[in-house]
Amino acid sequence: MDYRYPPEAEAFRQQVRGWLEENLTDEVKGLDNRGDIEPDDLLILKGWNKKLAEERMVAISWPEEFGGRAAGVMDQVVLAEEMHRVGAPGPLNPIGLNNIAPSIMTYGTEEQKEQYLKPMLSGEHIWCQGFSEPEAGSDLASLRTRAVEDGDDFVINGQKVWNTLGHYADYCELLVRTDPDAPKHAGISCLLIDMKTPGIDVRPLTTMTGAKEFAEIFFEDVRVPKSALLGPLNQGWMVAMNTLSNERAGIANLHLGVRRKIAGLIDEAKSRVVDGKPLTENPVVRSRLAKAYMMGEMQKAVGDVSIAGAANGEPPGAESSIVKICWTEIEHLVAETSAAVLGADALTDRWGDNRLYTRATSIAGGTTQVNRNIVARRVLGLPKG
Amino acid sequence: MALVLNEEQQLLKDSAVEFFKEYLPIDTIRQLRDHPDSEDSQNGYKKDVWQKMGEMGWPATIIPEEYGGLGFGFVGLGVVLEAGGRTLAPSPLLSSVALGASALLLAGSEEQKNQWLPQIASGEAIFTLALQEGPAHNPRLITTRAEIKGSDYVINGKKTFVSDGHIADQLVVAVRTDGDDNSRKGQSLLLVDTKQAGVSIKRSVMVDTRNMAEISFDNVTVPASALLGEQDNAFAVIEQIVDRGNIALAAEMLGSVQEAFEQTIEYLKTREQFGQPIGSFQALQHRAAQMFCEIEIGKSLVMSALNAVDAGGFDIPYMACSAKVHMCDTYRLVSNEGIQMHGGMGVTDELDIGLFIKRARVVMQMLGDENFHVQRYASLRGY
Ligand SMILES: Cc1cc2nc3c(=O)[nH]c(=O)nc-3n(C[C@H](O)[C@H](O)[C@H](O)COP(=O)(O)OP(=O)(O)OC[C@H]3O[C@@H](n4cnc5c(N)ncnc54)[C@H](O)[C@@H]3O)c2cc1C
Repeated sequence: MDYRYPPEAEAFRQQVRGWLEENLTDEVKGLDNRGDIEPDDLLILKGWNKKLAEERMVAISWPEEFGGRAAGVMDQVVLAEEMHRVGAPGPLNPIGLNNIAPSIMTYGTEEQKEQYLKPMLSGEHIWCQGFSEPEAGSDLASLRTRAVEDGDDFVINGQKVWNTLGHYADYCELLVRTDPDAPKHAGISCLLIDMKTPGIDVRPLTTMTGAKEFAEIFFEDVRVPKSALLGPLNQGWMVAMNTLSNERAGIANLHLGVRRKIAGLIDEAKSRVVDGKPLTENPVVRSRLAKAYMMGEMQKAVGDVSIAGAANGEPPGAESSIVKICWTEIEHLVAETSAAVLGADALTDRWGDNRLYTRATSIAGGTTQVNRNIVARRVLGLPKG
Repeated sequence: MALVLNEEQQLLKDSAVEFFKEYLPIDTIRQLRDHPDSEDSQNGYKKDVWQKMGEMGWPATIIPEEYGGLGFGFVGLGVVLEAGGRTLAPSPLLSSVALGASALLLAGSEEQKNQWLPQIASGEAIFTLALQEGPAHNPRLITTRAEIKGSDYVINGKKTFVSDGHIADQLVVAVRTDGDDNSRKGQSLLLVDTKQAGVSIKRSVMVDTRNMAEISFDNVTVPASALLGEQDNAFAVIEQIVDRGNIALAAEMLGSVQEAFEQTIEYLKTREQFGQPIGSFQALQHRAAQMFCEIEIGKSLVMSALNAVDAGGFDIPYMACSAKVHMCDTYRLVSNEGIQMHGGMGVTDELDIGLFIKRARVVMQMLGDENFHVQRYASLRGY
């Protein structure tokens, strides 16, 4: 029973369910749409993405003119749940759709909206986010990649790093310094650039799981037209903060993935017999699993309440930082609990990867420490040191 | 289901916050503690204020209108308890309503409900649950026996840590009518008047200055009409009562935790060392931010749990466990850190923070500590 959804959302659920039953093929089912995608799978996923886009099921919260359904938060949750339930992969372009597109809608010109949004939706164009640099991570505003005005163009020199999907990307939302003499937040601009522009060199980076998830991007005298500017010149920091806050939209759903992992772990524990008894009867394993299970449900409760707040028209507050911190702690806890249940099997395959992969959750998209700074200063109003 | 308060609930919350500030400010606990011979202290609560709470309709929150209640549900009771938690307000609201009225609502006959619910709703009658035997919550272990003699029950045994037991008018007593001491089967609930011959009540003042009672039953005879629900089959009902009690307790804990946390944050902003407010030290900022995250989770959980009770869903026991476990962890963290961050001041009686840690230690034990609920959660989830 699920009593928190209004009847319209339930009607939408039935519609989604029916469409998925008809259209989700075995070939597509269960494919991973993130990280290191095999070329064959990528083709299949692009086809699937296109189908979803035609049905307006990629970014349903978008206005109808851009290919969305202007759907509310409840419908978004319903769609995510239904896709998740049957193992339907999401669209290919998570960063583009969730983070970058809303900024284009807010700050973009009519031409930019026309040119970029539709192909992003259909999966034709993959986008990456070029923010971090070797010397500018948590202190993003100290970024150094330069763009110098030259006639009708900008000429870009510098380096970006940790760019998720960078090596698949067709386009990039790039932060550059356009005024080196201004205070550091005031000299940054945001550009939308074609990754095939001469002078761009992309080198995939391998994570410790062996996956090529992100890349570094080098810029040498890269010339892009001035029309690449997103938002006003030297106000790129404002655009960047908007992009980062858009990550929020996805945050309320983070519990889906982690709760699926916990359920899987409990099934594993039930099926493993040690000293003649299922592992779930070992008191230590049992209470660790119960604690993990509860934490997963807590994550859901936090998500639900922030969704209810959003549905009520409350502006998103610091809950994005809070939900993010909580989520990473649960991911870490589940990963370590997997070792208690699976022993050496938690050193291989899926669970082994998961243990390594989840270490990235407290770094990507703002580290836990940086998020705590945000909560301490902006929410609790504690003074700066 | 609404996970944010509606206007009516928000009004209720605001008026409760004001009321407790005015009538049961945190100094009430000090007064009760420091004047042990006063009438209030002997009672462990303020009768006149309880009467006012009755007039405000708070004991009536969860009671349906047909029994003289307001039909505000558990969300209504929860916001009042949360407000009371902020001032550590001593009152029998939790015992009489979350436990007592719940018992009647869940298991009472029409006659019993008609007789008692209006009196609970007005605050005239104080109810409580006499369940625990020994130092730890263990609802299976019931050794207090009720023998059937003709059409009567004759009760013998002893109950411990009965909250507000010494001021209650009526007890909902968990007794064994059949089976071994430890079996689920064979438990029953009986309504017993505290003035009944053979009932002796010993009050024990706890570390939080609130009251728990040890209650002995020596051949206490009650008629068949005292039976609440089915004979021998009370275990499931007892669990449901305790779930509601834990959810109510979690709401109270949430209020206390927020107050203790806010006082601590205020101190971080004003206390200076090394020429700057101590709140500018990142070591303290990060711990404060972490506490805030736990409190936010607590708010979501308590709200979801209160809603679950009103919706009557299957998930009430899960929500009760999660809310209780999380609030135990969070109350421990916030009360410990509260003291630590106040430095030497933190361990004095001058500050309120010490009062919070005392209440924390009691409520964390009441109706099952977190270890109990973690184990129970595993069982509920089928492993
Ligand atoms: C999987 C993954 C995907 C990513 N994808 C992208 C992407 O698509 N695009 C992009 O631009 N970037 C991306 N990033 C980069 C990410 O945003 C940065 O790694 C992150 O912001 C931290 O920066 P850093 O790595 O330079 O670490 P640093 O900033 O050097 O931090 C090192 C340590 O110091 C701590 N620290 C730093 N400052 C403070 C402070 N003020 N107070 C307390 N502690 C502090 C940090 O918490 C951390 O523990 C990705 C990262 C990962 C891991």
